Amino acid sequence: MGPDETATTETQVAEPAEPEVPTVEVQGGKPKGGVQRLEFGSGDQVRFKVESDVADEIHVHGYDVAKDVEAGGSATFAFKGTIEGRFEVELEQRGVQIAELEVSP
Amino acid sequence: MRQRAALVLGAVAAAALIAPAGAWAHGLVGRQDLPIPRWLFAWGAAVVLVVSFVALAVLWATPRLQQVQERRLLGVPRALEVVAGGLGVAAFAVVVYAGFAGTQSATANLAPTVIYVAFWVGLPMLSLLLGDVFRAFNPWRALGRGFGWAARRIGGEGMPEPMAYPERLGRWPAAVGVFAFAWVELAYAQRDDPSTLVTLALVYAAVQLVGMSLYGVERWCDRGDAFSVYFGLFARLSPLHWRDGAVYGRPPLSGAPRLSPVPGTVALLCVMIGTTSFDGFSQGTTWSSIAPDLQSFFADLGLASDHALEAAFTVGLVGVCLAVALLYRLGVAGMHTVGEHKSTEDLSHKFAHTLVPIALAYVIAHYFSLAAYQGQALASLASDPLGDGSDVLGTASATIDYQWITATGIWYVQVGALVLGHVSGLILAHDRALAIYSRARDATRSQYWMLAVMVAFTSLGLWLLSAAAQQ
Repeated sequence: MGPDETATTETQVAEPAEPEVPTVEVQGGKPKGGVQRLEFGSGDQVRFKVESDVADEIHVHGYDVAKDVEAGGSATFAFKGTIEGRFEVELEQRGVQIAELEVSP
Repeated sequence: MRQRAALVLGAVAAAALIAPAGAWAHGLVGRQDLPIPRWLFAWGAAVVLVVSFVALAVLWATPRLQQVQERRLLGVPRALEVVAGGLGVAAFAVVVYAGFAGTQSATANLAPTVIYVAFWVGLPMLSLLLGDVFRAFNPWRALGRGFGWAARRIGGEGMPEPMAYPERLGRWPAAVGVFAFAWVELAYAQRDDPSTLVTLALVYAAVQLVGMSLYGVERWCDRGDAFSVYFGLFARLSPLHWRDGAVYGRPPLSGAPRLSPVPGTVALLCVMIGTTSFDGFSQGTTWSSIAPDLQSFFADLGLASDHALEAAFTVGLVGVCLAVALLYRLGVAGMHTVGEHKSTEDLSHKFAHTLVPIALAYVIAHYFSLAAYQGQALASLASDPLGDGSDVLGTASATIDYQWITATGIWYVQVGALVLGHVSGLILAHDRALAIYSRARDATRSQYWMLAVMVAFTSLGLWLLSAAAQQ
């Protein structure tokens, strides 16, 4: 039972002007490196990106935002973090949690 | 402007292995509580300690809650009981039908939300406010009474008397029943599957009908029917008491000292506190570091992956219940050393009712937000119980308002519930000690022990909600 310790984000260090957008990678219908937590403050702009090698619908619970993603494609989410709490980010058709969104006061 | 956009890796990667069952107790929950922050944890703990010592100094010197006068408020017509029972049976039938005939998606089907939210979490809170309302709506009790009435009409005087309920059985069937429900909710892989859930509900109802036919409807409901007993315990804290065709008013908490400590009562309360604790514990980091090892241990024994996970959670569930029982037992053993050296068995029974408010506080602290948010889904689900797009009541498109209470508001409810539960437990224990110890000095000294137990339970409750446990 050895979880993949080397899981990292695909950060672009080269472009300092661009604010870092956390990316969730989906490989074979599962989150690479396990379920990651995306943390934001209440009222902040929630931004993250999902890169997936499978086609599915990505659903952010609570906020009830959903976007389709194609196999090999990506989907970018941007909305205001108005609801506090922890929310499941899920591949809707597969019913697999791929990330956890946290908006704290 | 806080721009915190960080990714937590490492530990989460390990936790992810059990995430579907661990982090998200069931698919019903769209939003999870944030752990209470350190400052609130510190304040909560400080208030608990100060309140405890102040209570020792200022609480009354003669028992006040053991014998109280109830005031009759208003009469309840018998017809109302029949109507309530009929409504209960009808609601049960709708839920069972929805579970079988509706969509098998947990959130789009009426059954899981009614069972896990309205029934399991909503009724304890309602029982605190309004008294034992479940008794009137209890579908299997209504069916049992209906069958009994019909049998007497047909069979006349020839009906056999119910058997005497075995004293040794006590509340054990209820303890087993509550544990079984918690196991389904927290450990069972098919916990969200509507048709499985309602099948279990039917099996449960059938067992209750057998119990009632053997031992009599009221006797069985008082002792054996897990849910009657469970909600009935919380209703003892309520200022309203429904009995003998009327509603009576009484001081809050004063119903608890009348709890008869038959066998299984302490076990039931430990199961109640233990299973709720495990629900919190299983979402935390401590458990997510143990669970994979347990799971692989059971997998090595030859269990399939999901059964191995069920086995791991079963071990956790039993373990926490036993830990709670041990903690209570230690407090009782401490009391035994004081004054007249009353037997630990006797003391254990005499103070069992003091755990009732603690158990309710745990329920509120853990499930308040579930009721506050997922409870709203009942509006749309009731209108579209099968999840097939129908709109019977015109409310099918109602959504959940996640903003009517903030995360901070929920924290205050959680900590407030634990502190109030703690104070209530202390008051009940103090009052009982005054009643059973002949010397006031022994009563006070015995309560140092109960105080330690209560502080331990409340600290555990706070810790389970805190960032230290939840991460």
